[in-house]
Amino acid sequence: MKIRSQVSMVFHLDKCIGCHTCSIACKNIWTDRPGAEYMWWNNVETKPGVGFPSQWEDQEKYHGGWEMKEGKKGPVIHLKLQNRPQALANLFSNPAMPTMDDYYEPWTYNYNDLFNSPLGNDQPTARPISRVDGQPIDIESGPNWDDDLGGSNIYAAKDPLLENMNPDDKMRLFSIEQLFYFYMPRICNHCLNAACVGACPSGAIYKRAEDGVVLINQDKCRGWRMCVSACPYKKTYYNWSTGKSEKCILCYPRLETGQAPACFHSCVGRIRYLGVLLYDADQIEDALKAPDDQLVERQRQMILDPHDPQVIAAAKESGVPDGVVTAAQNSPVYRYVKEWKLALPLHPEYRTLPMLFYVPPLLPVLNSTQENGTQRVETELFTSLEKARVPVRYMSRTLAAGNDDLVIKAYRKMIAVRIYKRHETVGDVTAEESAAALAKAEMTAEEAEAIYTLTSIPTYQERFVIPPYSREGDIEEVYDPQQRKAETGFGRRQAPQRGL
Amino acid sequence: MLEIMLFVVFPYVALAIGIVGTLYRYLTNQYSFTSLSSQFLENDLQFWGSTLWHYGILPTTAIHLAGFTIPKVMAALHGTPDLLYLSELAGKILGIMALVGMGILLYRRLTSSKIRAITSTIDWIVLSLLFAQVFFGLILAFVYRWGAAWFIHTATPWMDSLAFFDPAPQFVTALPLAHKIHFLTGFLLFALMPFSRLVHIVTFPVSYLWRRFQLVIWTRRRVV
Amino acid sequence: MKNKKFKHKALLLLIGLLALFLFGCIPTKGPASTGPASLQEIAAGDAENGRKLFMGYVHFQNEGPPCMGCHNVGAHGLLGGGALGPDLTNVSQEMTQSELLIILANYGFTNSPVMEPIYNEHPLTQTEQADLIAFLNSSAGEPEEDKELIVLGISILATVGAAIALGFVYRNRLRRIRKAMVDEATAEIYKN
Repeated sequence: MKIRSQVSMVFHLDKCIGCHTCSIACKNIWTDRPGAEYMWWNNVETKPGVGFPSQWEDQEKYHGGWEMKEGKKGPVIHLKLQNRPQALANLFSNPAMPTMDDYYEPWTYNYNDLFNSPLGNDQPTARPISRVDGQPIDIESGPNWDDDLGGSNIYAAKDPLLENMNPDDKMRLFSIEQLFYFYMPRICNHCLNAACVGACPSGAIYKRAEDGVVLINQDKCRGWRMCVSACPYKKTYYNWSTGKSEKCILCYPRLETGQAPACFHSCVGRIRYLGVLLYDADQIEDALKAPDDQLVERQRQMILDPHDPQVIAAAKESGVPDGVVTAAQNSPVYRYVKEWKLALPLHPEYRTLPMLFYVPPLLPVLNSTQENGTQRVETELFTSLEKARVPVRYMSRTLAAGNDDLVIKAYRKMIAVRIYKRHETVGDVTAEESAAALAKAEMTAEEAEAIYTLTSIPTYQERFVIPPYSREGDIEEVYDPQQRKAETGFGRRQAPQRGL
Repeated sequence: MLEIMLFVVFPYVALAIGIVGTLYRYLTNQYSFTSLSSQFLENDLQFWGSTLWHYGILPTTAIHLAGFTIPKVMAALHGTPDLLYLSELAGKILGIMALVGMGILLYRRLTSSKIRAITSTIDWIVLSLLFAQVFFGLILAFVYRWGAAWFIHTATPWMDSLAFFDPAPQFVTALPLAHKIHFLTGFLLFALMPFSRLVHIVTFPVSYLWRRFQLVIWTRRRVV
Repeated sequence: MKNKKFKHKALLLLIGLLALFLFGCIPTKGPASTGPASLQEIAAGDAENGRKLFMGYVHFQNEGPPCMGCHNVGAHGLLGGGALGPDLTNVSQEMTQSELLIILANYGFTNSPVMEPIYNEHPLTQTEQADLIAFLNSSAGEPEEDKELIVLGISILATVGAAIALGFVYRNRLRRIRKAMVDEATAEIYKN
């Protein structure tokens, strides 16, 4: 067993209110520079919708992620984008490179016109001008252009996940008064088998072993842009000004000082959880080669129980510090992903082993109107699942590589928790109904209580269990600690400006 | 005297600036080593311009270097008139590809305001010089054919004499003006390398052919 | 660590460049000149062998480049001879035999400045000089043919072919996803 630790994340979609505070927190810290204006290391998408960049989930167009092929000695994993010689042949013009138009052209307004225009009969206007060349532009697209199903007959209708979907299910998504949508905040998944790392011709992208954060070495990046194409989540971005690729760094300078990343910290709905997962690196290869419907199960298998004495011993042997193991034991992510099996990885079929997990949004049909006009919580699990306005199929395509079963199991648990708490606090549900719901979800009252606590009333310390970092100790073998004494922080001595 | 300056001193100075400058830039400012691709801003013309240019210029440059380093092999490759015609045609096709490609790239930079916004003065200088270089190369190839035959008996001995620090400019000083311009622009471009985006040539990522797919880096050297 | 790594790479780069130079520096010093051919030898010159030498079917003994690399004679060669030097079809009438011999033997003061250094290192033997003179004598009066346009035409056509091939290889490249999507959806809306 080769045990590594990974700082992983859970996003509880049920709690996301789509306020984009996370995106703004990230933008203000990291991407408000020339060339990075269009980047959203953290973005919040409305689903169904085409996302950012448009239709990123359509890998037949974007060629992101890995594919499994039958080789002579069993299945082989290879990049969907290209093989190694092709990578060199495609350097000059990347055939799978999205252009700025597929994201949007960043703009500002010519505010000076408001102040400096001469006296006249017309109200002065501030025209939008491009942040690239300063020319006036007609805005055709922007961040969250299809927010809250705006322009849904164009954008939501072209959601790649709706392709070949049963017309009934499709109807349910789009008919008036049935309309349903949910928000999906996305950051880099800090994958275990990251396609961006695999595709980088210069080998500039790497995974930090201590915490699993995937980073692009800006000194080694040569702007070949293969990571942009290879990442199936389109979470690496090309900075057109500096000629380097950039991506979410999970706010590692904050993590190293014991703070949650900015998007986690600022989350209004408190949907985000961060904690350590211990996993067995020897199992990665096998987990990648599982058939589509078993991918999630195999990934869960890789994640190890940090309470198991054997695992603790093995972790010590692999060089995982004790503090990290303790953090793993308190990790909310471990509970959601492995213990409760509520959280699922985004598009596991891309075979990148993403380490950001989503609790699917609970369906808004749990109440039904009674004859006397009062609302009553729906207790029949199957009916409520079937009445679900967002088809389970859609969720399973998003979070389980098409395996409905996993999504249904998670939903049953979430519904059972709700019925259980309804019985306890409101009392219009009988004890039998509550017990039946728990039985159907194969869970105990204690588990329901624990899920409720961590979901609804967690404290800051419960949501973010950041492992202790010991950077000074870690680097003393390789750096002279005095070397960086006179510097303020993270090491650049030259402004990261566009090269000659 | 002028000839000594142009065909002995200048090449040495250019080579020194190119090599020392590129090394210095690599050691002090590796961040600036990038292709500075503008494909993200404009993709349609970029495909034709960049693929034609690179697929034209890379083999052409390789053939030139082979002419300097392994002249006997290259001579054998066009040992008979028929072989000579074939290799000449191949070279001419590559040259025209490069010229058309660079033409497209220049046109695209001139017409697209987005790309103009990220084009520096040195970009204009280097692109124009590259265009001129390929243009004069094609003049040599067509007007003064057959270059494959005379190359290894004029340019090669001159370059080899420079490499051996036993300069013999007499091999090239009597050649027509177009030849001289082609030679000098070549060295000028080499000298401009550390001051321009041309440094991306030396970062061609050959090691991708054999490196591991996944890179995991420990800050502290521990069990990996 | 960082600096060490830099040095390591810089050293590799330097070694690579040095290796390239050393590899390229194979001296090509030929034997000393053999002097001009005698009159008897010229009289015995073989025009057919001269043609072969001129066109490069037979190589010069001292590895000098074949004349056709720079010169054209009549309509010889599928795509003709070179154009760096003058057309030599009627050279035997424009120059005296001794002038020709001086150039071929690189022996005297009326040499071509381009050819001089080349054939100093790769001198022609007396028989070769004699055969070439015989060939050039025989070629006088042949119709001259400039095949430059043919060469240009073939090259341009082949380049177009290469471009089409590139376009075919990359025909599935990614182009304007968002715009295409919006256009398609808009068209569908208007259709319904």
